[in-house]
Amino acid sequence: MNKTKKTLDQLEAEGQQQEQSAQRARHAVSNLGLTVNGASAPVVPAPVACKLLKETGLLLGYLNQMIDYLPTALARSLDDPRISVSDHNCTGKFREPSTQIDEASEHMLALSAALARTVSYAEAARHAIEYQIYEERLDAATYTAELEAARKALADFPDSPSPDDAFSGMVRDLRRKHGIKPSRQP
Amino acid sequence: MKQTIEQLQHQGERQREAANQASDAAHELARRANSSDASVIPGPAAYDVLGDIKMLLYYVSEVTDNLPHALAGSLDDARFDVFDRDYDGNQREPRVQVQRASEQLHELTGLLSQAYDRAEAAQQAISGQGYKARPQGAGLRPSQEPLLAAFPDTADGRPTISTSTARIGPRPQSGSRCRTELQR
Repeated sequence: MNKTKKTLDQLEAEGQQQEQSAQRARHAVSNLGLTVNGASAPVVPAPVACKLLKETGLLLGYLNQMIDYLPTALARSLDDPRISVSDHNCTGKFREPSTQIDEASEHMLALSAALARTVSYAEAARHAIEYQIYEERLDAATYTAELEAARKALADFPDSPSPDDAFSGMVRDLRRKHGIKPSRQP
Repeated sequence: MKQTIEQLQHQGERQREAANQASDAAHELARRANSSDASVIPGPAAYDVLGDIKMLLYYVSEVTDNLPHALAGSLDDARFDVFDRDYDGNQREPRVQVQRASEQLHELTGLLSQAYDRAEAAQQAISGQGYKARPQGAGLRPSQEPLLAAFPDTADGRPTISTSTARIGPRPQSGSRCRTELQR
């Protein structure tokens, strides 16, 4: 295998690797879409949404890096000594490859600008809900049972032999607040 | 009741994991394309990469389009109570914050739609581009190249690697909710 052939093989292998990376990214994001939008997940609490938005912002940033570089890499293919580039339209008529690459580059520039703005919107959305939390809501029976248990524990708790410590003070305050008398004396 | 909130938490873990994997895959894509080894990307490879990026943007827009509904759903979910506070610890109305996030997400989805269209237009521009190996050792004069490009099956019989116009998709399902949103 001569040197020229080998380097052309390398170019094609690189192209395949790029395509495989793009496919992997596409499948990963497709999976994300399924996981978030699936019928089994109609509710996304804010802490999870924050994580999704953080990773989405990173993802869009990486895509922007990729798109920023693509016009240059595409234009270099015209001057690569290993290959000869051709272009034709859908009727088979010859087109100037550099003109087509210029047109594609203009679109990629606009794409890059749009992606750059998406990152800030993802960050702003995340910022709006970053301190939002949720707590499990108890059903009425469980709530009543836990409240009764707490009341009983408070009533049964013996007064401290050293009543001036902070914990004893807190117990006294709680009893006074909720009208709970101690069931036994020290 | 206890079991269902655990299911919700499990779903959240799966969503976090999926987001991590998507971000890592995009990182790998950017690293691969921007590495010094890959300083040249011929038209057919760029076409395929743009096609995948286009679909990737579509999937992200599905997420950002759905997230406002899913977030709003969390406020009315019977399994838990939602609280919000600002940086200083002052209480805020969760619904107002979700509304603010939803406005940003709506703008984000609109931008992703624009980005999708640009990716498709860039793809179309190079949809007829192909390349083949130059003759070994002897460089062609620039004036010969258009002729060879116009008659690719002449000369040396080397195969031409082309971008097939038949592979301009895959397009999103026309009936999907997100695409309807994007087309509006």
